[in-house]
Amino acid sequence: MHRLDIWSLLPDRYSSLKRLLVTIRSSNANLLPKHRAVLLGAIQQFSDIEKKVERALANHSSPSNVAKLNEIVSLQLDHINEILAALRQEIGIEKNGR
Amino acid sequence: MADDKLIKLIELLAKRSDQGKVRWEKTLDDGVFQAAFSEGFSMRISERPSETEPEGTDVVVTLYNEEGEVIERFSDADFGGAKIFGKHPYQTMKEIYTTARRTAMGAAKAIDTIIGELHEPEDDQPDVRTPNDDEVPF
Repeated sequence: MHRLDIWSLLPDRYSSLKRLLVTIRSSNANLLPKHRAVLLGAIQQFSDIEKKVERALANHSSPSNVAKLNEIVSLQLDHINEILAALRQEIGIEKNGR
Repeated sequence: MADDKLIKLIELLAKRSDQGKVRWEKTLDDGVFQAAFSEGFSMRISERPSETEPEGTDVVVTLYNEEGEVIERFSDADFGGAKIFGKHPYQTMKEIYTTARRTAMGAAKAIDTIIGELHEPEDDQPDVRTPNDDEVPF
Protein backbone atom coordinates (compact mmCIF):
# COMPACT_ATOMS: atom_id res chain seq x y z
CA MET A 1 0.00 0.00 0.00
CA HIS A 2 2.98 2.30 0.66
CA ARG A 3 4.16 1.71 -2.87
CA LEU A 4 0.68 2.15 -4.34
CA ASP A 5 0.27 5.44 -2.49
CA ILE A 6 -2.91 4.29 -0.72
CA TRP A 7 -2.12 6.18 2.48
CA SER A 8 -5.69 6.70 3.65
CA LEU A 9 -6.13 3.03 4.56
CA LEU A 10 -2.90 2.78 6.47
CA PRO A 11 -3.55 4.43 9.86
CA ASP A 12 -6.26 1.86 10.64
CA ARG A 13 -3.96 -0.97 9.55
CA TYR A 14 -1.17 0.33 11.77
CA SER A 15 -3.61 0.63 14.65
CA SER A 16 -4.72 -2.98 14.20
CA LEU A 17 -1.13 -4.14 13.94
CA LYS A 18 -0.23 -2.26 17.12
CA ARG A 19 -3.18 -3.77 19.00
CA LEU A 20 -2.11 -7.21 17.83
CA LEU A 21 1.46 -6.64 18.98
CA VAL A 22 0.28 -5.31 22.35
CA THR A 23 -1.87 -8.45 22.76
CA ILE A 24 1.00 -10.76 21.84
CA ARG A 25 3.29 -8.90 24.20
CA SER A 26 0.92 -8.90 27.15
CA SER A 27 -0.66 -12.35 26.78
CA ASN A 28 2.42 -14.52 26.30
CA ALA A 29 4.01 -15.29 29.61
CA ASN A 30 6.62 -17.38 27.81
CA LEU A 31 8.00 -14.47 25.81
CA LEU A 32 11.68 -13.89 26.44
CA PRO A 33 12.59 -10.44 27.82
CA LYS A 34 14.48 -9.64 24.61
CA HIS A 35 11.36 -10.46 22.56
CA ARG A 36 9.25 -8.25 24.82
CA ALA A 37 11.70 -5.43 24.18
CA VAL A 38 11.66 -5.99 20.42
CA LEU A 39 7.84 -5.95 20.35
CA LEU A 40 7.74 -2.75 22.40
CA GLY A 41 10.24 -1.17 20.01
CA ALA A 42 8.06 -2.21 17.06
CA ILE A 43 4.92 -0.80 18.72
CA GLN A 44 6.70 2.55 19.20
CA GLN A 45 7.92 2.58 15.61
CA PHE A 46 4.47 1.81 14.20
CA SER A 47 3.00 4.54 16.43
CA ASP A 48 5.45 6.99 14.90
CA ILE A 49 4.61 5.88 11.40
CA GLU A 50 0.88 6.07 12.10
CA LYS A 51 1.28 9.65 13.38
CA LYS A 52 3.38 10.62 10.39
CA VAL A 53 0.83 9.24 7.94
CA GLU A 54 -2.05 10.88 9.84
CA ARG A 55 -0.23 14.22 9.69
CA ALA A 56 0.40 13.86 5.98
CA LEU A 57 -3.25 12.94 5.34
CA ALA A 58 -4.38 15.98 7.33
CA ASN A 59 -2.26 18.11 4.98
CA HIS A 60 -3.66 16.28 1.92
CA SER A 61 -0.21 15.02 1.02
CA SER A 62 1.97 11.90 1.21
CA PRO A 63 4.51 11.35 3.98
CA SER A 64 7.97 12.65 3.21
CA ASN A 65 10.80 10.14 2.85
CA VAL A 66 8.68 7.13 1.98
CA ALA A 67 11.83 5.08 1.36
CA LYS A 68 12.87 5.41 4.99
CA LEU A 69 9.35 4.67 6.15
CA ASN A 70 9.38 1.46 4.06
CA GLU A 71 12.78 0.55 5.44
CA ILE A 72 11.62 0.91 9.06
CA VAL A 73 8.47 -1.10 8.36
CA SER A 74 10.49 -3.87 6.68
CA LEU A 75 13.00 -4.03 9.52
CA GLN A 76 10.26 -4.23 12.13
CA LEU A 77 8.38 -6.92 10.21
CA ASP A 78 11.60 -8.95 10.02
CA HIS A 79 12.00 -8.68 13.80
CA ILE A 80 8.37 -9.64 14.39
CA ASN A 81 8.66 -12.63 12.06
CA GLU A 82 11.70 -13.84 13.98
CA ILE A 83 9.72 -13.71 17.23
CA LEU A 84 6.72 -15.44 15.69
CA ALA A 85 9.00 -18.19 14.37
CA ALA A 86 10.49 -18.63 17.84
CA LEU A 87 7.01 -18.75 19.39
CA ARG A 88 5.78 -21.27 16.81
CA GLN A 89 8.79 -23.43 17.50
CA GLU A 90 8.15 -23.26 21.22
CA ILE A 91 4.47 -24.14 20.79
CA GLY A 92 5.44 -27.03 18.51
CA ILE A 93 7.91 -28.33 21.06
CA GLU A 94 5.27 -28.11 23.82
CA LYS A 95 2.69 -29.95 21.70
CA ASN A 96 5.12 -32.68 20.79
CA GLY A 97 6.18 -32.94 24.39
CA ARG A 98 9.81 -32.38 23.55
CA MET B 1 20.76 19.54 38.43
CA ALA B 2 20.15 15.98 37.37
CA ASP B 3 19.80 13.47 40.16
CA ASP B 4 22.11 10.58 41.00
CA LYS B 5 19.79 8.05 39.37
CA LEU B 6 20.14 9.74 35.99
CA ILE B 7 23.92 9.65 36.38
CA LYS B 8 23.68 5.94 37.19
CA LEU B 9 21.43 5.43 34.16
CA ILE B 10 23.92 7.13 31.85
CA GLU B 11 26.84 5.17 33.31
CA LEU B 12 25.07 1.85 32.78
CA LEU B 13 23.82 2.86 29.36
CA ALA B 14 27.35 3.77 28.30
CA LYS B 15 28.75 0.49 29.62
CA ARG B 16 26.09 -1.77 28.12
CA SER B 17 26.00 0.08 24.81
CA ASP B 18 29.75 -0.32 24.55
CA GLN B 19 29.38 -4.05 25.24
CA GLY B 20 26.80 -4.28 22.45
CA LYS B 21 24.06 -5.22 24.92
CA VAL B 22 21.71 -2.37 24.06
CA ARG B 23 19.73 -2.93 20.88
CA TRP B 24 19.79 0.52 19.31
CA GLU B 25 17.79 0.93 16.13
CA LYS B 26 16.94 3.59 13.59
CA THR B 27 13.72 5.58 13.80
CA LEU B 28 11.79 7.55 11.22
CA ASP B 29 13.65 10.69 12.24
CA ASP B 30 17.22 11.00 10.98
CA GLY B 31 19.76 11.04 13.76
CA VAL B 32 17.33 9.72 16.38
CA PHE B 33 17.95 6.20 17.71
CA GLN B 34 15.74 4.03 19.88
CA ALA B 35 16.28 1.24 22.38
CA ALA B 36 13.38 -0.64 23.96
CA PHE B 37 13.47 -2.58 27.22
CA SER B 38 11.50 -5.63 28.27
CA GLU B 39 9.57 -4.04 31.15
CA GLY B 40 7.69 -1.58 28.98
CA PHE B 41 10.00 1.41 28.72
CA SER B 42 11.99 2.70 25.80
CA MET B 43 14.40 5.54 25.19
CA ARG B 44 15.58 7.64 22.33
CA ILE B 45 18.84 9.46 21.95
CA SER B 46 19.40 12.41 19.66
CA GLU B 47 21.35 15.62 19.21
CA ARG B 48 20.09 19.17 19.11
CA PRO B 49 21.78 22.54 18.76
CA SER B 50 23.22 23.58 22.10
CA GLU B 51 21.25 26.13 24.09
CA THR B 52 24.42 27.56 25.58
CA GLU B 53 27.15 27.18 22.95
CA PRO B 54 26.44 28.69 19.53
CA GLU B 55 28.40 26.11 17.51
CA GLY B 56 27.83 23.15 19.81
CA THR B 57 25.30 20.37 20.24
CA ASP B 58 23.59 18.81 23.23
CA VAL B 59 22.86 15.10 23.47
CA VAL B 60 19.28 14.47 24.52
CA VAL B 61 17.81 11.31 26.05
CA THR B 62 14.04 10.87 26.12
CA LEU B 63 12.29 8.12 28.07
CA TYR B 64 8.89 6.74 27.06
CA ASN B 65 6.36 4.55 28.82
CA GLU B 66 4.52 1.62 27.25
CA GLU B 67 1.93 3.97 25.75
CA GLY B 68 4.63 5.96 23.98
CA GLU B 69 4.22 8.98 26.26
CA VAL B 70 7.28 11.00 27.19
CA ILE B 71 8.00 10.43 30.87
CA GLU B 72 11.42 12.07 31.14
CA ARG B 73 13.72 14.12 28.94
CA PHE B 74 17.17 15.37 29.78
CA SER B 75 20.35 16.46 28.09
CA ASP B 76 24.01 16.65 29.04
CA ALA B 77 23.42 20.31 29.90
CA ASP B 78 21.13 19.24 32.79
CA PHE B 79 24.00 17.64 34.71
CA GLY B 80 25.61 20.93 35.64
CA GLY B 81 29.11 20.38 37.00
CA ALA B 82 28.60 16.66 37.68
CA LYS B 83 31.07 14.18 36.23
CA ILE B 84 30.21 10.83 34.66
CA PHE B 85 33.09 8.37 34.66
CA GLY B 86 35.26 11.32 35.63
CA LYS B 87 34.37 13.15 32.42
CA HIS B 88 32.07 15.95 31.43
CA PRO B 89 28.58 14.44 30.84
CA TYR B 90 28.65 15.64 27.22
CA GLN B 91 31.62 13.39 26.47
CA THR B 92 29.96 10.28 27.91
CA MET B 93 26.60 11.01 26.30
CA LYS B 94 28.22 11.79 22.97
CA GLU B 95 30.00 8.42 23.15
CA ILE B 96 26.66 6.70 23.81
CA TYR B 97 25.15 8.58 20.88
CA THR B 98 28.01 7.53 18.58
CA THR B 99 27.68 3.90 19.69
CA ALA B 100 23.91 4.04 19.21
CA ARG B 101 24.35 5.44 15.69
CA ARG B 102 26.97 2.85 14.80
CA THR B 103 24.85 0.01 16.13
CA ALA B 104 21.64 1.19 14.51
CA MET B 105 23.26 1.86 11.15
CA GLY B 106 25.04 -1.50 11.16
CA ALA B 107 28.49 0.10 11.25
CA ALA B 108 29.42 -1.67 14.51
CA LYS B 109 28.68 -5.06 12.94
CA ALA B 110 30.50 -4.11 9.73
CA ILE B 111 33.60 -3.02 11.67
CA ASP B 112 33.61 -6.27 13.70
CA THR B 113 33.21 -8.35 10.53
CA ILE B 114 36.01 -6.54 8.72
CA ILE B 115 38.30 -6.83 11.76
CA GLY B 116 37.49 -10.56 11.81
CA GLU B 117 38.47 -10.91 8.16
CA LEU B 118 41.62 -8.82 8.45
CA HIS B 119 42.78 -10.41 11.67
CA GLU B 120 45.47 -13.11 11.48
CA PRO B 121 46.97 -15.17 14.34
CA GLU B 122 50.28 -13.32 14.07
CA ASP B 123 48.44 -10.15 15.12
CA ASP B 124 48.08 -11.67 18.60
CA GLN B 125 51.85 -11.70 19.02
CA PRO B 126 53.50 -8.64 20.58
CA ASP B 127 54.63 -6.21 17.91
CA VAL B 128 58.38 -6.74 18.19
CA ARG B 129 60.25 -5.08 15.38
CA THR B 130 63.26 -6.93 14.01
CA PRO B 131 66.28 -4.78 13.37
CA ASN B 132 66.65 -3.92 9.74
CA ASP B 133 70.17 -4.16 8.42
CA ASP B 134 69.49 -1.47 5.88
CA GLU B 135 68.67 1.01 8.56
CA VAL B 136 71.63 2.97 9.84
CA PRO B 137 70.78 4.68 13.12
CA PHE B 138 72.81 7.76 12.24
